[in-house]
Amino acid sequence: MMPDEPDVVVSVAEAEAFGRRIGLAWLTPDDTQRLREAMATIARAGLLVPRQSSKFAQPAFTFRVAPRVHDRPAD
Amino acid sequence: MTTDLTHLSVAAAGKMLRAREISPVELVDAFLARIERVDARIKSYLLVTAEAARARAKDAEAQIMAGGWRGPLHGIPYGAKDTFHTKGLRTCANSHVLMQQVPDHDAAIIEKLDAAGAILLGKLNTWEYGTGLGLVYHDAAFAHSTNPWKENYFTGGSSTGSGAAVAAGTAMFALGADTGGSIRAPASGCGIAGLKPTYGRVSRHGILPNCWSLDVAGPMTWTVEDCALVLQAIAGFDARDPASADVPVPDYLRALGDGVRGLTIGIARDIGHCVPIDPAILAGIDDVASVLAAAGAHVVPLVLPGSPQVYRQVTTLITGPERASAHERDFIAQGDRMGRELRDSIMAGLAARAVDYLAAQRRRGELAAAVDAAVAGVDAVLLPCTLHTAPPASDADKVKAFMSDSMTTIFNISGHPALSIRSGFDTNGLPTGAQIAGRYFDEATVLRVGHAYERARRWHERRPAV
Repeated sequence: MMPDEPDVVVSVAEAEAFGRRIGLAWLTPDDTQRLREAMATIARAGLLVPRQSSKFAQPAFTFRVAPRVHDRPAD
Repeated sequence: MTTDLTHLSVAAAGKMLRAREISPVELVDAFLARIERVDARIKSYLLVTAEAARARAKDAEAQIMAGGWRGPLHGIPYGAKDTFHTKGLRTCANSHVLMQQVPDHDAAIIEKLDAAGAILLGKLNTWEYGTGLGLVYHDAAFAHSTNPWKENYFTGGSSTGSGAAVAAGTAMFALGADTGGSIRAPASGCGIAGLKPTYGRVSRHGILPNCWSLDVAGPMTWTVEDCALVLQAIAGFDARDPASADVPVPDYLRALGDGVRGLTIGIARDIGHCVPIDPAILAGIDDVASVLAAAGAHVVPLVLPGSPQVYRQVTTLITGPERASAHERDFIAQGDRMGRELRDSIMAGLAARAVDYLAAQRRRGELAAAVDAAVAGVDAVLLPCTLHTAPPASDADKVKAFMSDSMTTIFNISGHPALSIRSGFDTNGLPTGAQIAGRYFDEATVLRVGHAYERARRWHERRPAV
């Protein structure tokens, strides 16, 4: 965790429940522990990415820096 | 003239092949012999296709002798990262899960190189599924490559075998793929040239996806000129890749030797002032700047937005869910056969909220626009690539820092082309790297700047003692 990242804690029960929900049949106690850490890591990143500045901007589903032929309007 | 064929550049070998001074058979045999001699230590290959390579070399020899020379890559031996699909050849991406995978098609880049007459020597080492930070868990299907400049030192990744092979002379050029720095970091660690082209410039059809919003494939070579030669062969629109851009491909060699007189180069010695940079890396940046200035370029200070941490947070939220989406079925069914690093990253991706992923995509667009505003004001940008030289492979903290502290991800987020070049050596004899970035689809200027420095300093004349 970076010093400026928010503290996030995920419990064993939460990780086990999440593992069951996505169908992980092979989770060991060690896997569950690492799943907790992975869930906390991604949650921290989610808390740090700003929202307000882009409230009205649409996300790009396919990022492009130039149009493709079939994207151009017909002449 | 060098007598070791494996130390020739692509450009030099291509000229000799065309003039029939050497044959493709000689060249391929020289590389296969070198692989035999050194690769048990370097571990650049996961699969060597010796017989197929010899057969193609004989065909190429016959074609060239009959006047059917196809171009500068005809008869040139190369290796492809083992995330590139190859028809009839195992493509396992260094994973137990994919150990039986034999694709029924070639990746688009392999098709193009095949048409250009290049000869595939084999499949190169990679971190599992072409992803990760190189954390030292020793649980992938095959052991990691070692750095040809110093045994048991880190190569950088994830295109580990590609960096090691070109530096060790076990491939004349290599293909890599770059989501957050996976071409440029091993290029920097191994002291070679590595180009991440503009997002959309090179087709990714047939490459095991890591993150479709950020993945870019590109060349890894001994010289910048060789990067231009390989890019020429692999660039171009491909309708099979949804992000492929229909933008004309220029002649990358034509302006390569024009020098930098009159160009404006923005120098960013740091982004965000967050992480200490090795003095040797900064000395290399200053050296590149002084050489370019002496050659007539206007070197001006440039501020790039954000910090490496900002780019990392955004990429974490984009790569995790996309990687999990691409490989969900493998993970649910066989995640226990994956290595720990890949498994952890897919777990995180599955745990991401959709709103966070979409917020990161919005933020990506904003950051890309801000970076483009800075880049558009100059002809090229000079900045560090990795902030450290290659660490010992067993030092997990330094390995992680080598990858995650780097200034590579900014151009995955923005989509601009970026080239890693060698800028000297540290006191330990390890190569230092610098990064040259440019405007969208202007790989030609990026290569021209890198070539000008390389010709002036001639670091490429120093080879590792493998």
